[in-house]
Order: sequence, then structure tokens, then C-alpha cells
Amino acid sequence: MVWPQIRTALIFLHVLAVLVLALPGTGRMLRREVWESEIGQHGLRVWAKRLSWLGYETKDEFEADLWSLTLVYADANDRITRPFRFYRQLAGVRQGWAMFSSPQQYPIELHVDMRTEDGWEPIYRPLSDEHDFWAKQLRHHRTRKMVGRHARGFRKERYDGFARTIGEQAAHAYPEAQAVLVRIYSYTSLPPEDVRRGLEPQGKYEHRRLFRTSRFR
Amino acid sequence: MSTWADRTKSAWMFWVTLFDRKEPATTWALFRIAVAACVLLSLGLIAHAQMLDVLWVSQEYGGYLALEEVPFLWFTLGPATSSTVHALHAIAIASAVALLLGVGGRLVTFCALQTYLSLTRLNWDTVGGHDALISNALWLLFLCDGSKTLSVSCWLKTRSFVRQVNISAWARYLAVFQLVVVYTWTGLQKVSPSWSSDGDFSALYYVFLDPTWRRYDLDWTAHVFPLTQAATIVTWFFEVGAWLLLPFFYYRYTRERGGRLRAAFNRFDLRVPFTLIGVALHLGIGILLNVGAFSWITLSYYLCLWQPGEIERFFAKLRSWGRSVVTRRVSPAHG
Repeated sequence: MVWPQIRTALIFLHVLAVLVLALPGTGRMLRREVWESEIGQHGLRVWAKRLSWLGYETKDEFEADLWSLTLVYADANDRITRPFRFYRQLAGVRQGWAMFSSPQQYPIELHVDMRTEDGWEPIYRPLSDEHDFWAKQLRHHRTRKMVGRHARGFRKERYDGFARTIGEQAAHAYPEAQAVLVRIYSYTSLPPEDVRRGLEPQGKYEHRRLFRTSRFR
Repeated sequence: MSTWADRTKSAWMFWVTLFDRKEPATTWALFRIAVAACVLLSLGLIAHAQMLDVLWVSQEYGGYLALEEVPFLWFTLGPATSSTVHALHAIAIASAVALLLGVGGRLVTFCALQTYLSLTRLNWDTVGGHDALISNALWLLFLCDGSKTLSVSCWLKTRSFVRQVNISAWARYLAVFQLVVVYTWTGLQKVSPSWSSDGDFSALYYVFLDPTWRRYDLDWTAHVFPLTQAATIVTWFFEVGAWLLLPFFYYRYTRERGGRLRAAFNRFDLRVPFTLIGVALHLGIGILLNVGAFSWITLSYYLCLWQPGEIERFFAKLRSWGRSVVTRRVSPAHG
């Protein structure tokens, strides 16, 4: 009757690994650009106000303390999870699902335009049936996720690489295009009362990347 | 001292006995089929979008981002070239098909797991929580073979796709535990103001407006804002309260011991409201939001909430209901 005992011990080890590896990861937590994003700053402002009874008078004070705490947590997390990394590599046991833990109120959209002899025209807009260049690719859920992550902390190298790929694809898809413009449209989602009044969110364009199509042909 | 030692020994033996339990293989086989279908959906979607070469191939070989070498267990398979990624993708698809059919046992499950892990670990920007749920499920299916029934290997042995065979129940318990951990942790991480009164319980409303997720124009949700608020509150309580399933199962298993709390937990079947809310939540997500295999892999775990006998009775009732509907429709014509 040794095997049932060993099996029980192994099951408990698995349970422990699942619990430890489900601890919130520190990758995004330690990226300053995530803290500095609009949604990050919004959350900090609200929490600083909520915790004002602890003596926080400004968001900056709260943010500084929370950053120190995050560094301590990251160090502790590293020590706690280290013994289980072998198991994570083997079994893929981890839990990264926060499921909309911090819904994005400052979203971004990827917009693609091309210049022809007649001037600029849009070729891709999210949800548009008319401007649907490379739509199957750009609307794939993994692509959307990758693009959406720039709203929580812009990463230039990753964005540049993807913008270039889009530029190249557009250059091949539209022989008449002289240039392709890839950019991010960022805005603040409107509260329900404004949407009901028929208002549209007003945003701004950022991170423009212009590609001459001749370089891809 | 002896009391403490006796109690520890008794508690330990409780778990040894629990994990030694056997049950018919039906639930676990259905879980196998559902998980394999989710692997195929996840890998099929990226192939259908023709994004393998963009997202999972390194920049030097045509992708958009410089990626590290392809991970495989504790080794690497060399650079993320198009041929390596396509080969891994093909092996993963073939393994998932074999898993769906129930051939190859643990070997194909391990193969599906490792190839899926290799592919999804290539680019962390494109990984979702559902990838972790899929790999967790594949690991459990590797630990406890799910192809004993409802499988081609069963047919090869018995010339029937179904057979009465018992397997260990602990793997199903671990799947339930995984589901509980997933929900409870995600609930506890929902500290954003929009999940609380400070943010007017607007979390799901803003999710519906986010172009990262929404499948269609969902601006109309502004007109049913109170409904989205109610859904936000229900979702939060549902997730944070998911841990209650653990005492529910414990008290159900030890119902003969008595006690008020045990009696309270045994008074009604907590799994019914949990499943109804969860299915509604995930169907809503699946219909309104573009999140890949997320809803379907999560719902696959729900199968494990139910004992094989309960699932068999459910399908028997469904069959009998279907027959009665057919009979009612046919009889007037003949009558």
C-alpha cells in the first residue's frame, strides 16, 4: 500500500504548484510604462483616494509606496516560484488569466491608410466592412491582444516590427499604393450617458509609421 | 500529543482514501474530447488567419518580432523559422486529432501538450489565459489517460466505442480544483475601480467597448447599462465565491458526519447555480467578444463538476426527451 501514499503526496505537490504558480506574475507589474499608461494612472488616482485614511495625500505618494511594495513582492514571488519552475516547464502549469481585471477605458485602435495618386484613403479600420485590408489577420484574437497591449504600455520595438509587416503586406496588396501609413488611434471610452446622447469619442493619432511601398517591391 | 498524531494520520488517510477512489471513465473521456476540440480550435484559428508566420516566426525569418529559440521542455529546437513552426503546428494538430479520437493514449497527449506549449511560449505578447487552461488540462489528461472509453482505442479493444471501465477519480478532482483556483484568483485580482461602486460597476460595459475584445459594435450596451452593471456584480461574486465549491464537495463526500454547516451545504446542489451562471457568462463572452477558445476551454472544465453517473443520467434524460418530442410530432400525422 505504498503507492497510494506516494500518489497522495504527489497530488499535494501538484496542488501546491498550482497555487504558487497562480500567484500574479510580475512581468507586467515591473514595467514602468504600464504604471505610466492612462489606465494605470487612473487606477492609482482612485486607489490613492480610497486609501487616503492611511495618510496618502497625493497619488504620487501612494504610487511610490506601491512601487516599493511591488519590488518586495516581485522578489518574494521569484523566491517562492523558483522551486516550481521545473514543473512549470514540464507541465505548463501556470495561471495567467486575470479576465478583464482592469477593463480598458483608454483603448487604442490600429488604423492603416494608403496614399495613391488621388491622395490618402483608409484601408483598415476595426469593425469596418468597407476598410477591411488584412482583416482576417488583424482581427484574429491573438493579433488584437498584441495590439491592445500597447494601450497598457507602449513597446516601440514590437510596434515597429508589426507596423513594418503591415506596410509590407499593404504594398503587395495594393499595387497602386505609393505609401502606407500605420498609426494608433487612442481615445477615452465614453460613459453610457454620452453614448446614449449620440456622442462619439474624440481621440488622437499616435505612433505614426510611414512606409514608402517601393522599399517592399 | 498522541491525539495530534492520530488526527494527522486520520486526515492523511482521508486524502489517501479519497485519491484512491475509482469511477466510470465517462466524464474524463468527455473532458478529453472537449479539450482536444479546444486545442484544434485554438490552433485552427491562427492557421485560418494565416498568422503563424507573422506571430510565431522570428523576425529574421519573416515574423514581426525577434523571438528567442523555440522552447521544448528544458531545451530549444533552434531558431523560430517558418519550417520549424509549421512542423510543430502540424504535429500539434495531428496529436490533438488523435486525442480527440482517443488513440495513442498518454503519448499523444504529451505530444499535444509539449507542442502546444512550445508554440504558445514563442511570443508572450500573443498568449492568453486560455492557453494556460489548455496546457493545464492536457497535463491532467497525460497523468490520467482519458481514452479508456468513447474512443477509437476502446473500439479496437472491444468493437464498441463505449465500455464500462473504471479509472482513478483524482484527476477529475484536480480539474475542479484548477477551475476553482482560476476563478478565485481572477476574482481577487479585480481591483480596478470599474469593478466597484467607485467605478459605477462599469467593468463589463467598458470591456464591451474595448476594440481589443469586441466582436461587433457594442455601443448599444450603453442603453442597457443597468444590465451590464448587474452582470458586473454577478461576475465578481461568482468568481470570488468559486472557492465555495471546495467545501461543497468536501461536505458532500462526508455528508454522514453531520453538523449544521455540512447540512447547510448539502441542502442544495451548489453546482447547479454555479454552472448556470458560468455557462451564461461564457456563452455571453463567446458571442459578444473575440477571445479565441477561451470560453470553450473554460466550459470544458465544467464537465468535471459532474460525476459520470450524473452525466450518463443527463444524457439518458435528453435522449428520452428527444424521443418524446419526435413521437409527439409524428403521432398527429399518423393519428
